[in-house]
Amino acid sequence: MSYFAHLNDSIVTSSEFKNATTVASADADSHEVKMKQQGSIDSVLDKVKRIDQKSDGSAARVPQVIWLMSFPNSVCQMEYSVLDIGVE
Amino acid sequence: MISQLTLYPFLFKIILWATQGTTYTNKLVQGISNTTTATNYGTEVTGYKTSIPISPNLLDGPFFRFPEEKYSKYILTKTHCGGFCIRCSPDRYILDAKQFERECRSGNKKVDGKEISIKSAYNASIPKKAVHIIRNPFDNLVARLHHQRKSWIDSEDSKSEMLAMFNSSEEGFRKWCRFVDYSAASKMKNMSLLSNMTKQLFAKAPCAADIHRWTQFHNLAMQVTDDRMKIPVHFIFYENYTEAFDETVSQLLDFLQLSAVSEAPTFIRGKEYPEYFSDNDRVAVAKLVKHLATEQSWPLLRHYFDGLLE
Repeated sequence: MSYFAHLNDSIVTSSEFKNATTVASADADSHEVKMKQQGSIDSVLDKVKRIDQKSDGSAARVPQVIWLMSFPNSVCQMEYSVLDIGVE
Repeated sequence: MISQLTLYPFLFKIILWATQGTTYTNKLVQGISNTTTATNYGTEVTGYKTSIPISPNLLDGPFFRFPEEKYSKYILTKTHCGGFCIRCSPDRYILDAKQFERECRSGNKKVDGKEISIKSAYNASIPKKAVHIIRNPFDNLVARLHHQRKSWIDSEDSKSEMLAMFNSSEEGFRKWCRFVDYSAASKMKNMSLLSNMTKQLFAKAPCAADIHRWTQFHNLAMQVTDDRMKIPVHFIFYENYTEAFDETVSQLLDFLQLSAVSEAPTFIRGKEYPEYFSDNDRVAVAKLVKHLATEQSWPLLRHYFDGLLE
């Protein structure tokens, strides 16, 4: 069982996970990049042993996001700003 | 009433950590709850050639900081949103709420060691709450120069001329402010985007472009979380880590619905730089911020300018 099983409401197998991610959303990176990312994640999954699996074997939920918002002290993070990302 | 000392005695153990507000908050949450946090910026996570998302359906993030560690119901996720670019003119850094919100969902990732920028990484319905950190703008501005200097020193082609010109002294800081303001000031003269009053106040304040960006960040962060997303927000004032540490930590943990199971890293307050700003500078900055702040943000920012606007 991949550790991503623990991130879902219900347990998923590695193949189900792959099916889910190959149709992943978000802004378009190339198919090639997504496949490469998927391959790399899979290789991590083989190595990582998560410790949050419940004792009965059931899976934990996907965590809900809480933003930590701050004006950066560091100007070296400017590369993520509108200068590079652009403004529509 | 039970004191915070009784509830959280482990908070007093001394462990040293760096003191950036965001960095410290991340380390605090991870250290005290033994859970991982997340980030929009997958490239900053070390140890993996590929960024590991928090969900298989979110390949573009957020990403775990420590994929091996456990997490709880909520995961704190770093974002700097947008509009903070240094040396860019107002027509580049001024954002509306929609643009700002989209940048709060943007970041980057690593795929097989290659770094990739991501725009609008995930859906706006993903964030369920927000923690908004506010730091004294005067210290924030000086810290930005010092961080820039560090990045110059660390860069492969060490920028000795820049390091000499913009040294860490008060004089170096003033040069830095003129440098930062230069492109903004030259562009804003003919910009109808800004009122004449804004331009006048801008001309009098040191590092006005950065002050503008700092104020805009807090205006838009509140507008996005309150008006657009309507999600619960917890504010942390950086100085409260020094002035009311236990209370600040316990309130944060309550908001995150996390339990304290370990020791908190000790907070070391960042440097303050009162000598870098004259009284006139401070008044000019206060007037500019008050002019730019919204009715929503000013009540949360005004205490940094106490006594300057009477």
